[in-house]
Amino acid sequence: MAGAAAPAEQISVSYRPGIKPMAYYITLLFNGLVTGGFLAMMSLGMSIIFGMMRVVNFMHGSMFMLGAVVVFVFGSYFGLSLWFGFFVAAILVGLLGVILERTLIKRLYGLDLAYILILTFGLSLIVEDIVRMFFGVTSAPFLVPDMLKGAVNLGFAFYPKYRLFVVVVSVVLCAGTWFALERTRLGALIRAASERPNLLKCFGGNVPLLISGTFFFASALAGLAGALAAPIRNVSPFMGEEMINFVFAVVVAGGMGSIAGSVVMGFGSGLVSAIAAIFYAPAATAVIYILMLVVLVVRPGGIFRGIDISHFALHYTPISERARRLFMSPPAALVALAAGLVLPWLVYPVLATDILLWGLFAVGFDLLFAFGGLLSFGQAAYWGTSAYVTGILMVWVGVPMPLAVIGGVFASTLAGTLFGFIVARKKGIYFSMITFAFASVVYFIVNEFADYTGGEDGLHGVIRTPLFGIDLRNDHVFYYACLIAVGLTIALVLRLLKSPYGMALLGARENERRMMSIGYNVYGLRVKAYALSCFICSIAGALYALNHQFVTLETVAWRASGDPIMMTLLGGAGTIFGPFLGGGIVLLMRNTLSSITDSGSLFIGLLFVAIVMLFRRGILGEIVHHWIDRRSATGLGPNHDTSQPEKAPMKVAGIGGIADA
Amino acid sequence: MSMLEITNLNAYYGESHVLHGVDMSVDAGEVVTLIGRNGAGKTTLLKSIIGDIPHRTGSIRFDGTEILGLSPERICKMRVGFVPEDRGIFSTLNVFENLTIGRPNGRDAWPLERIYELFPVLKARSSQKASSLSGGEQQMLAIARPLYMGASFLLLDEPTEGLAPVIVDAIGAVIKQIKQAGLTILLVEQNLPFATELADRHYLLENGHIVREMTNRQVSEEEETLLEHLGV
Repeated sequence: MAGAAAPAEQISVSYRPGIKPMAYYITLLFNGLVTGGFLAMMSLGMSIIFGMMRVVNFMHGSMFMLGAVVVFVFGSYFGLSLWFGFFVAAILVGLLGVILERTLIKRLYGLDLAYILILTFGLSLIVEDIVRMFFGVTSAPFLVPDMLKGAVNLGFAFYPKYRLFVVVVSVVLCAGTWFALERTRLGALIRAASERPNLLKCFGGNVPLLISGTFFFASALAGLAGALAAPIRNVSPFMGEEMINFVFAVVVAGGMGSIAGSVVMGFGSGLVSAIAAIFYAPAATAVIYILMLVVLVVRPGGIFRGIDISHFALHYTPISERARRLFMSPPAALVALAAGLVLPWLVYPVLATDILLWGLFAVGFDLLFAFGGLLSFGQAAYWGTSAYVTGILMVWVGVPMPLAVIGGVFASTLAGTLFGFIVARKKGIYFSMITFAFASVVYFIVNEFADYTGGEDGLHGVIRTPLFGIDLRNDHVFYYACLIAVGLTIALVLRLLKSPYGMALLGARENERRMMSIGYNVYGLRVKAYALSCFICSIAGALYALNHQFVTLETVAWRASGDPIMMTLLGGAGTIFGPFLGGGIVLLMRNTLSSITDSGSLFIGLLFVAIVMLFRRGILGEIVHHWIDRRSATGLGPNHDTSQPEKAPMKVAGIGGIADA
Repeated sequence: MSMLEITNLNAYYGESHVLHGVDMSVDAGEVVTLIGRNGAGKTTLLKSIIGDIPHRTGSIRFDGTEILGLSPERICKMRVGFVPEDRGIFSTLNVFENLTIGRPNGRDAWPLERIYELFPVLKARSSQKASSLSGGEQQMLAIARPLYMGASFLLLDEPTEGLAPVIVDAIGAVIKQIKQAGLTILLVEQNLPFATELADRHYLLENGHIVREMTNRQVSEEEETLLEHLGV
């Protein structure tokens, strides 16, 4: 098990820290400022867009990557100068942002914010996969124009001119943006449009133009940041993915929507990361997330006052009450059980088990999502932790398989519950971003302790053993063993959802204030829901480790957090069995696609976009919705509870309006 | 000819029908009030005129042009000014930015000096955040804004709501001056003495219907029954 090869720089630092001259550390701090400059430019754009439209734009990272790719293409294929590249990258990426807003995001205004998050997540998968078809990882130091080549004497040390240029440009851009927003008439219009768009219209303000302009600017800023990064970082399809993780952390810690917060936290994170690297190089990335978690515990709203998101609770109401009752009825469970029994005879058993376990994982996500009203973007942390702990207990400690599974589930659920105490105070988009960042920390830890987890090689040797005399090494037998475990878990979930606790949780999602005012501890309800979700994800994760008999880094990667979201949405959120159906479709698709094309995530991304734009209730949800609609249309049932659920927030706003009248 | 002519206006919020066949008119230079209890549809009527309610049928003619179906931006450009019930102050903007958020439009736009003459407090506090103003000052700012843009027709939604009597008097004086300057005003008001002092005519709105058109004298004579009806 080889650890990741450490960069030369880090080795020299950690070996003889006392010997290095002061200039060396100052140089490192300047490097921190360079990183901070990128983070600040990115976070600034993210924050402006959020402030204006309450949109969390996952595509922002892809735009960073596209900026770098554009500069690389123009520089290396067409031989154009970097100056021209900056210009083209900013314009092209800016236009992409406008097109994105005008064609897709615009249609989702007024719906739940989670839809836009999911849409842009899907789009980022598409963009990355398309770029990946044409690009590998390259570096492009040759792009640096002559006048920025070489080093400059700062008095205490020589520092590369280009890096200094990056610091200056990012500081100037951030300061300029702040000035434009706070001190100009255009800035006043943008602030007014952010605050009360409809009112601004009554004063003749062209709000759609302001929105598109803001999208253009923020996207161009991301493109320019990517372009600036191209000569000094690896240009790769994945550079946006790394970036967006940090940007989420920075924006949340700085205070969502706060311009000053983004800039200060952006540069601050770069510096802190550089300082951490002096002591322990691999901590450079983790420290940003840790900083965010610390800020959130100490000062939950972020360092600067951002936009009050307390009224942005999730309003995702995927299916009607009647449909929900239908899914919770015994016949539905019997149909699902029958499907479960025949599944391994339709597809090969390892895949069948995968469908079952991913489905259970997705149910764990959906419990928080459809019933708790919380969109977690980081449930892979528990799926992966449980798989790794189970594996490590078996491989390194020699614990018998059943105990290892219990240990894995226990450790992971415990971690989830503890984190739940922090994160359950958050709602809406904040919740999504914090869970996302936490999963990144877990990924970092797993990757960092490669001696035990195998790092990128994965953890091998998680061998299934017989249990109670049953030979689980047979894939069919193991499938049915998993079916029993999954069935029991689902029975528990159904029991809990029907209990007063489940009702209270639904109530808290529908109307948090009312639940509080009649004496419910909404926070407590959410902590329990989070812990329960982690428990379910952990069961699925531990069994998943046994199914493949090894654990890969993929189980804690952010894509593993995205998959259950998609499976749930595809199958139908809140339908209990929909996530299994969605899991089945996704895995079968991926299985088929992988033999035809290597563009799996392109199709997955397209599927995300299609779900969000076309059928938001998911397959089961839409079927039942239309079925109930038809029945009520022919007079067989009441139709008042089947009215378009996703328009609920709009309706609430309408009722509020009447009260004002 | 009437400046504003509304015929058979219906307005809806989602599935609920708020205004039912409203007919009314306002002549140039007039001050007309809408009275009615909470929820009668007064604010909805103003918002329908300014174009902030998407679901409407019927006809709203302003200066002879049909404006039902036009966007709020277009209606604003026709020099219709709006002072919403909550005063519509942009709290993240300072006083000056709030005042000048709309562009001066036409020769009748009040220059800043004239506005500051009528509202000296706006000059004194021009660089202060608008959210730090008192309620009365915010109301002054809200009224000054359409004047800066050159509105010829003002929609005022309960300008006296929640203000101290002294401030109410000051606002009354301001509205009088605006009337003298030749502006036409449609005023939503529950404060009947205030309304009769300023207005030429009154409409009584009940459950989304215009039930009566009243003169100042009728309003004064029937003040008690009306107050009882309004529940104030």
